[in-house]
Amino acid sequence: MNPETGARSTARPATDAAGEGAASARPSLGRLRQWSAAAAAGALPPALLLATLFAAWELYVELSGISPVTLPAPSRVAEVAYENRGALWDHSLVTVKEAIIGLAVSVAIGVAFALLIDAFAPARRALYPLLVGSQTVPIVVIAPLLILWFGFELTPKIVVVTLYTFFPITVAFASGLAATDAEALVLMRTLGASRIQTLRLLRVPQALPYLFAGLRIAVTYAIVGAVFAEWSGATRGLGIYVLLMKNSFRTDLVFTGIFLIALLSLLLFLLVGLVERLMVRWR
Amino acid sequence: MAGQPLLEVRDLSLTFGGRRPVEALRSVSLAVETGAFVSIVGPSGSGKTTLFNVIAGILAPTSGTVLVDGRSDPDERRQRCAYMFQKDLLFPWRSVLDNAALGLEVSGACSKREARERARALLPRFGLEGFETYRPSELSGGMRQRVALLRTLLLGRPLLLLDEPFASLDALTRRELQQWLRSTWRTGSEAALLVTHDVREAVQLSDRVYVLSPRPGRIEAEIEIRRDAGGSLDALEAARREQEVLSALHIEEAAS
Repeated sequence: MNPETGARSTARPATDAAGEGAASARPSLGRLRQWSAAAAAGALPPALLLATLFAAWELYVELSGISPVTLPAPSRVAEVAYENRGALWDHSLVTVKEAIIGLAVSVAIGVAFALLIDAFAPARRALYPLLVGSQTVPIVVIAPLLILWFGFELTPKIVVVTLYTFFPITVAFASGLAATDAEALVLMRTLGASRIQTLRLLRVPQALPYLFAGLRIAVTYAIVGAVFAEWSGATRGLGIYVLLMKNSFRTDLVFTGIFLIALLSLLLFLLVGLVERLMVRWR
Repeated sequence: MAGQPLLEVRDLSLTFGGRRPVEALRSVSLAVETGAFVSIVGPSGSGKTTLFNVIAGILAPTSGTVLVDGRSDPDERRQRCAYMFQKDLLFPWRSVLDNAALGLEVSGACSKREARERARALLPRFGLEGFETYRPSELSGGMRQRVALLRTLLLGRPLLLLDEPFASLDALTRRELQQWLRSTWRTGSEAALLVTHDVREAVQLSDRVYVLSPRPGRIEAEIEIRRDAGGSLDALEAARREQEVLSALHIEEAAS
């Protein structure tokens, strides 16, 4: 290659670079908007299916003349939901609060356990069987005990939600930490990074998508966990509300509660997705 | 070629233990003087990356000595080597600027802000001006390698180790980056050692080429490349040296 060509190609990368870069999209609010549009489009098919199911249900109740105490029509469920919106709102707030606090505790415990498991081989050997074991404990059985120990207030609910949700978070984050790219680890070594630096700058950010995968699983248990804890003994919350309605043969309000519980779980799931979008923007 | 050897490898051998031991390197000796750009050419599996890992103090050899700037202690050697890999290994969650500043940030030699400022000052030379806030996924392969090289050179460590840095790029981008590297590598480094299996790349860039045999890796030949005072290479000289390297690799070209 003669010097002239050499000089020209030396200068070229910069101009090429500008062209390539300009073509690619910049991360911005636009991307979030794009995402919500995609989410809305994705919500259409299940919404249609749900509407069809409700219509069939409504039709069946209408034609069979079944007692509303046995099976209320969806229109009736919607009606009583509207009439009781004040009470439902109050009970929902209690349940959501328990679920979110429980999840937060789970994230803290899960991250701590995962870091411990990752850092010390003996901790892994000692902790893992116990963690797996903790998931085999029937919560049905210990929930009343928790009420006995902690009373009817917030604490036993948080404990139950945490028991339901910390495991997937721990396992997911620990797997994420274990999945660090081996060559990136060599890079950090050549840069002279300490263990803490490698953890902070490489391994934890790299494991964040795993953490969110675990959190998405955990979040579907959180509301159900809170409802179950309330069912075992509470003064307020959707769990105790549904129980009381069942005992007074208000099947329509039981259904209202069930739908509300499902809806809240779904909303919490979407919230986790949104937080992930904001925290893991490189994906 | 002038200058003291910045890197000296003497009689280096390495056998990986285990049930079926693998002899990776046998009695390798080579030297890289201050100011020199030296290449090692060898077929895949000839232990080139292993050799680099030993030089950079990441792997311990079975026998032999390695001196970087007169130091044999692995930790001290590592602190004098700026190591660039075949993969760019950029962190997808960091911007171009933060990726480039990573090494300085880790070294603790200066504050995070100063690390960024030093990286920013070199962006134009690396053709990355205006891309500070871009993420690696938004860059082309060539640009990503340039960010990786900036991250490596910013450390200001004397010995630059380049492990097939252009192997994953397309032919055109590779040629551009080779030319550009020739004019840029001295930013921060005093000597460079390049591992490649591209004979033309080795001859175009280097003052000397070592040819490594297939496993176990041994030095088969040492070929000096004569350059004029400005560092440019005569086409005839280049062709001759390429031929020499090829025959040392036992690859004969039919027409020549």
